[in-house]
Amino acid sequence: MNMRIFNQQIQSILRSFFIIWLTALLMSACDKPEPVFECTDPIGCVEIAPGEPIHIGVLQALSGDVAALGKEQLRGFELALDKRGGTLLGHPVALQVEDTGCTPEGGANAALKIIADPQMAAILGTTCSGAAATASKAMSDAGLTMISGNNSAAYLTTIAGKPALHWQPGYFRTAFNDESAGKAAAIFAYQRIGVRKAATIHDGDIYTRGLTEGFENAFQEMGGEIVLSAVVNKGDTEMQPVLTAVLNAGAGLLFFPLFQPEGNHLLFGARAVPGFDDIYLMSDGALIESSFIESVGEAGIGLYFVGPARPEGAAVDSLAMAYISKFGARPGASYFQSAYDAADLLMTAIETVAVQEPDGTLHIGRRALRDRLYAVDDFEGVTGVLDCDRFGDCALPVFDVLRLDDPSAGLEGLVSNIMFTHVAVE
Amino acid sequence: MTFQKQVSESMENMSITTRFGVGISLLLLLILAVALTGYVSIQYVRKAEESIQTSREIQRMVLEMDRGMEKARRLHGDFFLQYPDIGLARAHEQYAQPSMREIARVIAVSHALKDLIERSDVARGLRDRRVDLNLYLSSAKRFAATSIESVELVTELAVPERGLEAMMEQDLQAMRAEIGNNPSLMRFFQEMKTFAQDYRITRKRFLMQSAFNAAFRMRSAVENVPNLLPDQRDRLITLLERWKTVTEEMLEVDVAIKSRFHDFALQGEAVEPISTALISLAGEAVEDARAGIQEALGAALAITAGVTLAGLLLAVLIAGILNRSITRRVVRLTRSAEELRAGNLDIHVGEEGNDELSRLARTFNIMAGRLRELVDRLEQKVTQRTAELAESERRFRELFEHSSSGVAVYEAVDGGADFVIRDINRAVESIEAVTREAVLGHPATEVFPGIRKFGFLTLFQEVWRTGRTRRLPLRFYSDDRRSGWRQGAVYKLPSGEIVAVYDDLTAQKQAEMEKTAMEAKLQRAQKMEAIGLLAGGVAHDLNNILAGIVSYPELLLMQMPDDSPLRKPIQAIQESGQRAAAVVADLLTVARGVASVKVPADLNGLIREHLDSPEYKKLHSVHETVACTANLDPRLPPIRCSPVHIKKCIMNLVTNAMEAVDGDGRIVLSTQRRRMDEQTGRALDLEAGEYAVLRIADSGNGISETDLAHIFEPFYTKKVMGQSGTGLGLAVVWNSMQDHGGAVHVESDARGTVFELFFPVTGDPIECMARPSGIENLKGNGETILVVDDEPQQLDIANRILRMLGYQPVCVGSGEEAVAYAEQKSADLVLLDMIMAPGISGLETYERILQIHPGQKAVIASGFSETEDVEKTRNLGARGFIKKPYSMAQLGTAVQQALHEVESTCMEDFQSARSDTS
Repeated sequence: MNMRIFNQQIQSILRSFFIIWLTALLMSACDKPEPVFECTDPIGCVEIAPGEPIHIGVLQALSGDVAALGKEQLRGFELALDKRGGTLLGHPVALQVEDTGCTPEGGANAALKIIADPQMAAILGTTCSGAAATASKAMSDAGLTMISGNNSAAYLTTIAGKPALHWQPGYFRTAFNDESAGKAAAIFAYQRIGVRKAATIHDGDIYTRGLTEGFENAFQEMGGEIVLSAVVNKGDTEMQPVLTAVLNAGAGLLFFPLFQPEGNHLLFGARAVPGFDDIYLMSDGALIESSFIESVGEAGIGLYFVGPARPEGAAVDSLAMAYISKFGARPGASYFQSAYDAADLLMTAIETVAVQEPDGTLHIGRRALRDRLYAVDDFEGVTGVLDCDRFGDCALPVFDVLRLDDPSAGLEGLVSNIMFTHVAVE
Repeated sequence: MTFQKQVSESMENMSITTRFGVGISLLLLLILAVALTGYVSIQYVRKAEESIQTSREIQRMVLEMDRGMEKARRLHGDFFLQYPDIGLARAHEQYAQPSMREIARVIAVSHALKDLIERSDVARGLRDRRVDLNLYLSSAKRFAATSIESVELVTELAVPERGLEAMMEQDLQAMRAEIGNNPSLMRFFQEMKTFAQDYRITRKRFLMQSAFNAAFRMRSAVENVPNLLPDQRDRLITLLERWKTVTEEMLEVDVAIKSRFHDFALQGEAVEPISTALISLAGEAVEDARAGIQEALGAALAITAGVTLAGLLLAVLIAGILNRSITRRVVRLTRSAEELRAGNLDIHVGEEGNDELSRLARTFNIMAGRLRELVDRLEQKVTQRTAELAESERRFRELFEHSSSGVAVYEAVDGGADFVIRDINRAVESIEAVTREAVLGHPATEVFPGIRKFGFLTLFQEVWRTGRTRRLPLRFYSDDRRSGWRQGAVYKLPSGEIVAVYDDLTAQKQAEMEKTAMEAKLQRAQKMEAIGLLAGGVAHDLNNILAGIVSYPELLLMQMPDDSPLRKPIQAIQESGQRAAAVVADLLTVARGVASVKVPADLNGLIREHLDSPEYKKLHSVHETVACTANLDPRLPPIRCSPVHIKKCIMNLVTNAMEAVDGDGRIVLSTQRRRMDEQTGRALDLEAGEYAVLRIADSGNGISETDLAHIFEPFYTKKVMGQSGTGLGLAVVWNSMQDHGGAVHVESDARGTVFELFFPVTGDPIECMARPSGIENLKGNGETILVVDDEPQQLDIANRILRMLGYQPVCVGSGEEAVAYAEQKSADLVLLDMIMAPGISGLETYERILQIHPGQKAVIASGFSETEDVEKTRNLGARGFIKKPYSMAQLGTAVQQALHEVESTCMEDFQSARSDTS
């Protein structure tokens, strides 16, 4: 081999190497996947990469005496998730659980933690309406969707067919709007019990305030007189003065839709104050909970409650069985069912609106999700058929007035002891 | 076939240039790989450093946010604490507004931090904390909103006059005014007011509910109290309702404020872990980045090491291939070339392949073949020329080596400051008493230390510098090892070396000098001989004549009364005779050959004797201003000398010194022992050995050079003849020193003159220190003294003196008569004249008498006598020698000593001394 031939071979090798390199470069450029989704949602999209979890925030009251309600909500969500095998559209679901403390400020701050995550798809919550009022504002501003299985304050959605004070776009609930609960209590008090003078006590929370206002309006509309509208603060334990005021006012019924423990203290106070034997006492759904019954015991006998009617049916039973199976105990309240429905409704909506790419990447349009929930119609929930209106109310309100006659019968005894049922008519 | 073999074969087919090109290209590629590794490592490290910087910036910003948030909270808290004391407006200004400004800054920093994290390539942990950062930002905004709300609520509550608390107070005051002194109302009012005040202290709602209950009862009382006017009742009810409404509003505000505080607490709980986590994450990011740097450096090191190792292996491989295909062949070629250079012209290199080396090998073989041919021819010529050159070299070497002239080759060193000996021939070895091996390579100044002093070095330098041949004039050279006269020429070789060709003319020069000296000596000897002949010729007669003049006056004076008027003239006659005798004695001394006896003597003693002598004292009295000192070496060895002559020398030199000093001055006499080597001795014409030196130095005006050359000549004097000398003083000194085997050396300048007399020392002891006795002691006892003299006058004088001394003199006029007398009679002593004419001499006379009377005592009495005869006579047994003219004492002493076996030498000395100095 002479020098010329050798040089030609070298050049040939170099040329081949260059061509291979150039081809690889071009192929790598061509290998880039074409974009298959472009987010056109006006308030943005959540993109979940393949294998990445779908982030869902959970805002519940997980501390204090209301924690039992919050935990029931959480369990309802978990049951709904279990229904899907723990995944959603092939993605695991990561729940970011935050405690609201059942206060507006707690709700606001917990919401901030949730919405700080740009990957957050939606929120399940809250337990307390007071917390929801602040949380939904933050959530809505962030373009998220929140759905609750426990909020019932009318202020959160609509009052008298109009947007209520704390209504926020993107807020939904499967719990009943309390606007009808107060009315149901008033009808029962005026028509069934026959009292004409009533006193109310709330704690400033929009839930309790909404209930008392609904009661007062309905009671007065029927010709009754509200002789006292009193307020206690959350955390108050001394109820003697306010009970004295009730006595002074000459009320025949005291409607006090409070949470634990204020409701407990008030009940014990009423039982201790002379003159209350002839005054009917009526509370709300927040106290329709086994821990309250266990707490007040005999003092609770004769106490009326106005709360959402308990759904019935095979689905309810099945869910109850699942609850017991999963958590090894009977439910402390029935609100986990509405929580289950809320979660199921939300995940169904996500499944509907999410755009899934071949590699598994998900795109969830924020507005699309909201719109999808607003458009829910005849959704078969555990608690019944769900139809979401434009204010986010998805459940048809049906309230029962219950009376605790046998504390030993527990929650089941209470919810079975229905004195009166009121179905809201749209 | 292995890879290396394949590569090797492929490379063998390439040209050498291509092989090197491929090898260097591969090495360059490796270098490039190392450089690329370094570049990537640097980029990685730079990126990590940026990450560290960013993380630190994040830490700083988070801390700033945290501090800002904390400050805002503290200010906000201070607002609520301070407004009841300092007023709402001031609290708003001092605390609320700064709090809002601080939170605004926190929000701005939060935004900036968010941007920084999003746009920078920070650690994943930090990027994942975007959520927390969002929360932090949201919480900050919420804090701002909540803070504003709380301040507004407080304002609503506490603003002066229009605030709820103020309105409550106003209503209470109005109610108090309306109630007046109504006790039942006042009780309810006080109860209501107390509960309200308690609420304001504790913020317990049930207390205000109690106040409401009291108000309810008060209202009932108002409605039922009879003594109230309708208007008053209406105003009270209105006031109560308004108070309750305002109070309920206040309660709501309190709840709202409480809610805000709870809000703040929750916010704090939310953001505190965030800032902690962010700081921690930033710190971790810094550490991660640092770890990344370490990893990158480690990786770079490993890669570099790997690439370097690979490079080394590749280099070894390439080197191996190049070695086999190039280096070995080059080495073979080189060795062949070396062999060729070494002379192996039959070398042949393998010519395998067709590359440059193969062509070079072919060329080499052709060149070698041609060289063989050329060398064959050259060798013949070289052999021929070498033989010629060897012959030429041998011839010139022979010439060089056998040249009678010394030839030395020098090489200049130190810029001509010195010259190193490069070669010398045998003549130089002989002349300079050196060996060639001992001096080659040595500096000329080391081998010949005197060349600088005697001007040879300057001559060498001039020749070396100018290149002109210079004649080396006859010049004396000496150093510690050699001395002599050199003459020749110095020239410069084309090589720059200089050559000295010279001859040792020392022998010739010495011969010449000796000849000159001999001539001078001969001349002086002839002169002395003439004088001697003259002196000798007249001395005998003069002394005989003078004997009458010297001796008769003495005899006359002895018989003459002391007051005789003739005594003085007779003494004058005697002194004149004595002076005349002294002149004759000097003449005899100068003429040499004068009879003198040398005995061991102490030179110091002779000097002291002179200094103690009347003659010296007389001389010193004339020259009182001249100080004379003596520094005599007590260890001075004895000398063998004629004391009378040496003392005469001392006297002459001291006299001259005294006269040389004009006015004040000094004379120093000193003695010393001095070792004389051959060289120094040669200058003084002395043999090497031990000498006693007498040094006489004066501080006079010195002697001119002209005079110095003649001072030892007889009758050469600068003095007026007859006044102070005879012109024989220094001639006597010079002749005496010659006669004693010594020498005299004189140096003179304007500061004075020094005479040095060199006497050979002797190991013999000093024999006699006897001193002459008085006339009374010289008396004889009638011994028979045979006086033999051909001078009747001298016989008469001797007869008279001996008779006067108590002897029996028998006077005879010749030797024959003396012998005849001896044949018949005996004598105790023979007083024998040595020269008697026309009969037998004194020597012969004594010989004959001894034959008759062996052991015959005799004393020699002579006016002039050959030294040889005197010595022979003494050797025969003569006991003493007395020189004519003699005095009574001299004769008496000599006779007495001879008779009594006393060494006559001393007597002779004494007599001589007396004779010379009296």
